[in-house]
Amino acid sequence: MQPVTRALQLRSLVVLIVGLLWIVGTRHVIGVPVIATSQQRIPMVSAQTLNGQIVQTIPHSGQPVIYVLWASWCPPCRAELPVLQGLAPSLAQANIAVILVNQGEVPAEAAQWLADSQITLPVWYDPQHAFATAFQAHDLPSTIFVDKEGIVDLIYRGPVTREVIETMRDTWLQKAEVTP
Amino acid sequence: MMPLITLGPLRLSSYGVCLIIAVALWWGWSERRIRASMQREPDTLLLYMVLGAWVGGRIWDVVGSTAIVEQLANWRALEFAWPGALLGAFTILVVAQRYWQWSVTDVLTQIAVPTLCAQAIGAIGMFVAGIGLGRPWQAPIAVEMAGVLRHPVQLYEALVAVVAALVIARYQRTQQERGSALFVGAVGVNWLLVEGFRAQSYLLPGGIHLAQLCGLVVVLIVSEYYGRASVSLPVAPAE
Repeated sequence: MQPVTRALQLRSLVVLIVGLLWIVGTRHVIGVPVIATSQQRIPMVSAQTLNGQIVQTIPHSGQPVIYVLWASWCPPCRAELPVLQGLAPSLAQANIAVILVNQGEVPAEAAQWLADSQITLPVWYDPQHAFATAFQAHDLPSTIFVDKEGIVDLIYRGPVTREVIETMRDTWLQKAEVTP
Repeated sequence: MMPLITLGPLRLSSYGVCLIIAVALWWGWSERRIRASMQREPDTLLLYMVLGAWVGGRIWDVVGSTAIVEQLANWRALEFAWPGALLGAFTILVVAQRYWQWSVTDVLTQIAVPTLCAQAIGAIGMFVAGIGLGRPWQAPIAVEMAGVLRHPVQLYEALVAVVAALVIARYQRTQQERGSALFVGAVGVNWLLVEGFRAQSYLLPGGIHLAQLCGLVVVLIVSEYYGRASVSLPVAPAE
């Protein structure tokens, strides 16, 4: 009986090791940029401002727009927003708009957190997660880079870095020089 | 997800249609198998299991959402998370064993193949409707969904479910008593193999998918169960 029991333990051990290796091998690596391969045009997605005014994405806004999907309960978002705030002047100089799209929170509570954190970037409120659904970007934070033609250039999951934003800014600036 | 049919407040998508087909198939097939093998009328049990699946699926789907109340109140939502649905139906089954003397293992044995087939149909419905998306992937067999090339994770799920159904159906021809354990094992294998490719999934620190860990635990439990059953099998006396 003992060899059978030993073989059984060995089998479970093999299952455990193979299973763990598989889990680690297929883990979700946060922060990997996802390129919108189809060069899809941004869909019309609606949100609202703090005073309840309805706003929506504009396909041909004439300027690149960075939509940042965030929530105040999300620690990486709280770390990311000050970085974006710091980059705001250089982005504005390059005629790039940044819009923070809050996902699912009570607007007044989110606005209070922004005020406490001295974040002054424009904010939209999306209580129904319309942006997350439209871009399949349910990981927070997620950042959607849309060029001036309304084409989604990049959807970035996880906390976006200064380097990524600066790279996109430079890319858009080069593109503007080539095709004014 | 675009609705195919709109009936007042009810909006049926291609996934909704597949889900209705899946439930109808599951119900009819399970009813026939249970009635034939257990000589009992299972309609009430199956009805409560469907309701349990719906409630469990909805709860699973909205846990973690910041708008839990609003999401739960969205009674029209047909999309629900499969693990939650299974747990909801299983909870009903445990209650049914306690109060109505239904045998959990016997019922699981009978509904194993119908449930896996229903899962496959539901997964195909998700693929058609473009929901439950896979992770981004650059490969020839990747499928473009929501503007990004992705793992066709819904098809993986359907494939694993169909293979598991075939294995169990073949096995049950000779050994009925272990169908329930095989079914539970198939659920675990599906979570373990497939959930890692899903874009939206509960993540633990390090990007580990919670559903995969649950799947591994289930597979280990079933593996141990089979091992013990093998040890305790009667040995034919030597001539």
